[in-house]
Amino acid sequence: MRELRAEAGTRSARWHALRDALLELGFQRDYEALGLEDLLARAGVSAADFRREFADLEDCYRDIYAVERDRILDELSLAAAPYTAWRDRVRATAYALWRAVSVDERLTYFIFVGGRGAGERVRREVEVAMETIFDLLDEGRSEPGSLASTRTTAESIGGGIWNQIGAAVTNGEPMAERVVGYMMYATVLPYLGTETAEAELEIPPPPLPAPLPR
Amino acid sequence: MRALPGRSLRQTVDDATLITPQEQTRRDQRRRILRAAGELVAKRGYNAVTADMIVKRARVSPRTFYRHYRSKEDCFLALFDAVFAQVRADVGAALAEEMPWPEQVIATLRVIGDLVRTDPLLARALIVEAPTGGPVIFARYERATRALVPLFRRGREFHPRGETLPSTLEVTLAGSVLWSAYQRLIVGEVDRIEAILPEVVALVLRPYLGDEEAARHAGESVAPVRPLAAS
Repeated sequence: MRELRAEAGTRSARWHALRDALLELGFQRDYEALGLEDLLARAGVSAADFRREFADLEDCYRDIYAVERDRILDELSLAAAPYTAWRDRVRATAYALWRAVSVDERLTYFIFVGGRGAGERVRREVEVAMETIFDLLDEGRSEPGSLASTRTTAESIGGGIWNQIGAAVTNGEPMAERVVGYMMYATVLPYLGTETAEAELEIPPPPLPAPLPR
Repeated sequence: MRALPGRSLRQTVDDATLITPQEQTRRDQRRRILRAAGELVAKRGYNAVTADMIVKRARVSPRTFYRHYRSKEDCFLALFDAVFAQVRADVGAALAEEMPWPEQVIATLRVIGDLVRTDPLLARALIVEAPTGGPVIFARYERATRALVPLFRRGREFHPRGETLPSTLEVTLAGSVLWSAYQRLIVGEVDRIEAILPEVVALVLRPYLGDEEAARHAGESVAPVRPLAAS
């Protein structure tokens, strides 16, 4: 199981104020239009206090992104931990991810859309999240009779789903829970074939552990 | 119209194709501006590029830039639309009449792969950077991605229970196709785009044709690598 890393609970009140302000402003405007002064004013943090923690706006964005990303990945890890079979682990992860993106559209936008436009340092943190998902999907290649030949399948399907989540939140369209079954179908199909994939459409959501505190 | 002595006419005079020197200049300016925008966005990321940088790289004046485009975003959208129109035209040219659906899918994927292979800077600007360019550009990117949906959706005619397949399937597949190109671009492996084509073909065809038929078409999609055109 992926080592748990969530550390939001150890951060200061100032960090949390910046985090809340960043999520709010990031949802309203692009990174390019996001100014440090606006962020500080919204968070009620002075420039001096900001500089004690962060080098610049991108550094702040990167840090908050990494913490929020790790919390979500920890939730996904905890959801998948009880299972050994690949399909079960992917399914638990998928439903835990759906739950995470359904709670707060600002956070979902931040993780799935905003981060990609926020500079190279932040983009590297986004890639950590995506590669973790790709790694899980790519384990499907080890399944007996797997049809996928390279990591391309994991990257393609994982990236397609990532984009789908980003598009949904950008368009203000909440994702219905049944869509998780559809995504499981699309994920399982290239590894285990049509019959196994179609079975995914009938499997109910698994029980999930409680979400981690924010 | 008579040619000059000792010279033959090289083209037929046709009013519809004649353009004035001023119009030619405007076209050249737009072409340089769009090319500069694409290259800069590919190398630095959309948010790091300014209109000033585009102006300098395109070797035009700011006044000329703003005569053609209202803003950086307007310029990038024009680039996106121009390339999208070209890709659509290339797909149209690649699809022979009465071409079976699986081959239409393969031909379409090959056109996208060719863009990545022959102009990776432009492909990077449009596939990697465009989704980071704010909601208007992201919407354009999404629209381009979803242009694949009607083609893929026709595959349901080949499935005995086509209409019961997940309603979001084609959107997922369209995003997956673009993402397969995205990954090759960000890791600098555009030379592998042809090698991954069979796996992407199988990914798209399998829901509709089944495992064996999809694998057969995927195997047949392998073609000799065409050399890049000399620049």
